[in-house]
Amino acid sequence: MKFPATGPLTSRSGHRGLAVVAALSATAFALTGCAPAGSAPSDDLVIKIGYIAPVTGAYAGFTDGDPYMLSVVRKQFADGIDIDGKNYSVEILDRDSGSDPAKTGELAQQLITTDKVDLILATSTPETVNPVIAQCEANATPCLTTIAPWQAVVFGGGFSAEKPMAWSHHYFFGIEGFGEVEPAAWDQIDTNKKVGVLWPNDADGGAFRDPVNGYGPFAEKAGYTIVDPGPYENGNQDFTAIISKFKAEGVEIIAGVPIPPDFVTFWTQAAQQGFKPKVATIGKALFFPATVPSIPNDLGEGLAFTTWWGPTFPYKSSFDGTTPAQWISNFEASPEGKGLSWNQATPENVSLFEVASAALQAAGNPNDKAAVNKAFDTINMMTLAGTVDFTTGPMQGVATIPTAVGQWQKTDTGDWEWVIIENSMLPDLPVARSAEPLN
Amino acid sequence: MIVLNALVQGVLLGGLFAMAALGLSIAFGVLRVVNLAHGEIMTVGAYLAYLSLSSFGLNVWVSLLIVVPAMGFVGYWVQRLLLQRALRLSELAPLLVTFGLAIMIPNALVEVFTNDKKPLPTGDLAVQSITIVDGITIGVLPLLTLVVAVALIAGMQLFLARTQMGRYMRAAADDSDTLRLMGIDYRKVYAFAMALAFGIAALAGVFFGIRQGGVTPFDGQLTVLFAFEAVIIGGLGSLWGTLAGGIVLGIAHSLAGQISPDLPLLVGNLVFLAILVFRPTGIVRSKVAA
Repeated sequence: MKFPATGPLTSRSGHRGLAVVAALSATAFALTGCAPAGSAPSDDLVIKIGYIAPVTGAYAGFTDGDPYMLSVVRKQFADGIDIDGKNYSVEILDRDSGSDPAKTGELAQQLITTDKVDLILATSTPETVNPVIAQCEANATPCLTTIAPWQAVVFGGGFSAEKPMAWSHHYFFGIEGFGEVEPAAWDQIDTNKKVGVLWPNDADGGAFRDPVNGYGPFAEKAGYTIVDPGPYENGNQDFTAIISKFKAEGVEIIAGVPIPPDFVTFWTQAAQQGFKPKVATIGKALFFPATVPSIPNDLGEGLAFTTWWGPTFPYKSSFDGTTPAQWISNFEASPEGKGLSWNQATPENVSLFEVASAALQAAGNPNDKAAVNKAFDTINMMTLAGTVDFTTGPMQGVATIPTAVGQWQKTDTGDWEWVIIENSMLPDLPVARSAEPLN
Repeated sequence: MIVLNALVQGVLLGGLFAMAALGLSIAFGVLRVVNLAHGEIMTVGAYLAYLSLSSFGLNVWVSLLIVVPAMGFVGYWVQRLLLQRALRLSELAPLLVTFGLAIMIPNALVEVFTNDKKPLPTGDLAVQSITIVDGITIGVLPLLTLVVAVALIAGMQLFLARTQMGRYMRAAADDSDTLRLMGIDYRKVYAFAMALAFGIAALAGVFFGIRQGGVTPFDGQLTVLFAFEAVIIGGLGSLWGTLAGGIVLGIAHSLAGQISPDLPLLVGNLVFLAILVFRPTGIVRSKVAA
């Protein structure tokens, strides 16, 4: 029988501890990605770009295509950027936010004060974007962000029309991106125009519920009535009460922004309890391509959702003219993309670098923060993720992107795919077929 | 009828909570280890089930025959190699170890399995239901979950009462020093208890996965809170108490939902708080609590 060690750590367990630390830091290194290859030239012509994204943690799904994306971007910048006849080498410092707002803020501060970056890019959810913007505003450093409803970024960050963001630029759609296209999709199906909504008790749900700036006015303008059972908590395990309410009110349309597990719970319980709406347009939960096929008993068939990117979108990379279809096939053929299904976040992330590159060139001197910041205001360009136009936008520093509605279907071979059924905001986007009712 | 339906759904939901809480209850009651990684262990169990599905083409139920023993084996060695060592440092060290595991596991799962949801298909089981009377329908899967949870608890109770290892485990919970004086290697007893806790957690994880149609790396974080609450409400160290705790929590959720959809989690937490304040030993007084 062994006796407990007398000291706090025996030398043997000490070595083991070291091994664990080494293994952990190796993992951390693999997680955050490697530093860019090659060293900066001896002269001072270097552009440092910080890139903060949730590589680990609950929002990691937004960035699983990033290793491929960053390899493409680093290849693009391998020979540097020529600005005003001078060649600047480009250093990308990518950081993992860990899906933690506090850590994100610290990382942004480190990038600005310690690493002395010229520009910060940040992506995916207000929890990542907002802390970065706060640091950039406080430290007078330009930043460019995407993949977060712009209302959550601007109003959620304490900005307004009177007090706009001074150093930050954000592009993405907001509630209007859902509200303008989803009723158009419902119109294609004969219903009683009663819409049951799943708006949880979180930032998104609150913004959608807002009577003036929310989702309701869009639906009402199109002649639909909202049936709102009230804000439920994320992680709700029992939707019986909400389903009973929808049944009692005769709801035939479902819309909302539930988180993925809640939507699956709701949807299977609805089936158990015999609630069968005719059409469902679900934001957020259906964003990741693996959710729908996993819903039990093929109940995901016919679900519709607001989308901003897909293989048929009429977009083109400003780097090399890559189209969405080419991007997807390149991604799936790459070693980084092995075993992954493409999602809509990766092209949006690459567009950050496209827009940044254009603004740095437009600035004349990329190391002049004020000039770079000003240059963003002039951006109106096509990227792999569509047109980014800061010259017209709902507010200073905000640009919106168009959306469409897709619907899931099972192919004859048993694979899942979604096709475009509504394109009113993007007339160049081909519509595959009209909406089909559920069941 | 609406209230009655809410009660029925609440009891069924309670079965799910109780199943999730059972492994935690064992670890808590016997080992005095607060396993903060309990939810993650459930998630790993669901991933193992997915692996046996995708690699060997087994169905979900058969995969349990692999998943539960495998996770039990892992639990045994986690206790012996990690938690038992941590216990030498201080009473709180195992808690920190499980906290570390709770952070490392989901991120490791992301690396191995990506963030894409991995399916655990069971055909139409998840949507089948039985209509008792008009207005009350019982889902087959929730009913099955409740039945399995009750069977597990009854089985565990029998095991603790009738077998030698069960008696050792109760003895270890009451007074591990005396157990050592009797010449029993308490570390093996602890490790065996942890093996049971992990195996049952894995089983619960598979049921959660079936309910959600699949599993993603961060699912555990959402479920572990309910498991903790069920254990505390029921009473530390009492297995039937854990079932009662789960059902109380389930009914609290579903009745509160009838009043307003924003209430279930709040009322569940309030019930939990009320128990902590007014009856800290839980609704079923523990037999093993020291």
